[in-house]
Amino acid sequence: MFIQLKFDSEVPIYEQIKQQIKIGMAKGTLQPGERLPSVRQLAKDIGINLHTVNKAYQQLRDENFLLIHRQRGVVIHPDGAPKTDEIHKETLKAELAPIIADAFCREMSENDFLSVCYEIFKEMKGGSSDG
Amino acid sequence: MDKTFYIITAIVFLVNFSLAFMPYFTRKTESFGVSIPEKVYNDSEFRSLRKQYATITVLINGLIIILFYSSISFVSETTLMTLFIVATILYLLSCFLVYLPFHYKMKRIKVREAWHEVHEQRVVVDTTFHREKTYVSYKWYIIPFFIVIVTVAYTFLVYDQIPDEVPIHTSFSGKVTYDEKSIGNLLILPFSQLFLLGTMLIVQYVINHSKQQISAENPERSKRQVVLFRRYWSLYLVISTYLITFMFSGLQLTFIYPDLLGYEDYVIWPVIAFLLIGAIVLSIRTGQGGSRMKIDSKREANVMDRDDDQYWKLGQFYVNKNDPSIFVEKRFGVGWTNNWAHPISWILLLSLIGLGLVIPLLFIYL
Repeated sequence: MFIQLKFDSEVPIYEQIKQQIKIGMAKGTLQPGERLPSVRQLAKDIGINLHTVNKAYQQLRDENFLLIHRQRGVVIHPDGAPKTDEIHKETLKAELAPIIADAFCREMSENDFLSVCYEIFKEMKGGSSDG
Repeated sequence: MDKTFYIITAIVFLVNFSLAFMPYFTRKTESFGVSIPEKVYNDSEFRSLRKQYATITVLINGLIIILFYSSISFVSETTLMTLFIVATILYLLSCFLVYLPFHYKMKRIKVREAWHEVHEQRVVVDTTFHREKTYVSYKWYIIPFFIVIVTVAYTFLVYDQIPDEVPIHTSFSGKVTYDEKSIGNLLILPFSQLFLLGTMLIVQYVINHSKQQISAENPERSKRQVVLFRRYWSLYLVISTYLITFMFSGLQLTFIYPDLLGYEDYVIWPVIAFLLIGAIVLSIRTGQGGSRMKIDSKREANVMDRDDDQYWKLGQFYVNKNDPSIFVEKRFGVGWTNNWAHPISWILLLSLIGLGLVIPLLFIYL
């Protein structure tokens, strides 16, 4: 999978790495059990500090998206991503609130907002290969 | 002057011409050490810059060639040898001096065009890149190593039968001079073989482990180009290693069997020709990072590589403290260079220079 990082974005690079890996998993371009480059390798290829990549990997591991083995290296969790639950729904709600507030202020209709959501869901299911 | 002299100098001067066309071999996302969007590479402004550079350097090389050959009848052979080395260094230096104003001009154009403000700057990496078969296995280097061992073993097996004088020195004019047989003298070639083998292994390591560098404008195509680029150059490296190893073992045989002396020309020249022509042809075919190889694919509009020009001193020397990479692709040329902010780069450079100096000294005192 191609990880695409925007260096003039306000989103920090470690956050972008996390997002890209999750998108890859959603689209199926990253399969459960698939190996990812080591921290050092990815940092070299991007040309950034090891800590930045390490931070992204550690957080993804803490969220149960990745496994970090001493020998086999970094792999996508063989069971796939953790399933949604009450706690996840709470977090999701908290994260969506400011986004919806922003759309609401701009007088975006509920339907328009939802159709954007449908579109993104479709993209994920479609597994578009451009990663 | 002997024909060997003319062949050597002519080859070097001809190869120098290929350096004039360096701007045509770089990635299309770079122009004289400054990053540009790929789509402007063929704009007339940049085409004429490349042409100007090539014209100037070709003229300089021509001038050096004329001056050099017209001085032949005036100076002694040893002076000529020095003159030849000076001429070559002078040419490399003048290429760089000609490059500089072009580099600064590009920097001004970059400010004027503000490409990095109107394009989204991205870095693209492929998570599966290092699983691709981009290179040939290190196992291929076992055979040349074995050849060196066999050469040494055979030499000392028949040591008693080797003539007391071995044709060690070949002067610049191609005249063979002899030296007394000694263990040191007979080890010169095998040691050179090992030194070259070590160097080739380091280069292979660089090809295998250098940063992946996929262009953001067209990742799909760029990845395939880089993979092919690495494969072709790995293959060239392995073939070169075999040829050089066999060539040196062949030379060693002329020490043991003086009857073979004179036949080495039939080996040395084809090998040198292959190495030089091979490198030039491959550079023209692949271009830096495979950029000259035609592969169809869609291009993303308004995206370009992250602006890392600040880390490229004079557009040619990569110094980036934040980048853990040691080896990266050259900006102005075909091949790889070091991240000079990494201490290992300096350790490597100094140890190569050290070895190059120590090995010849070793044989003087052996």
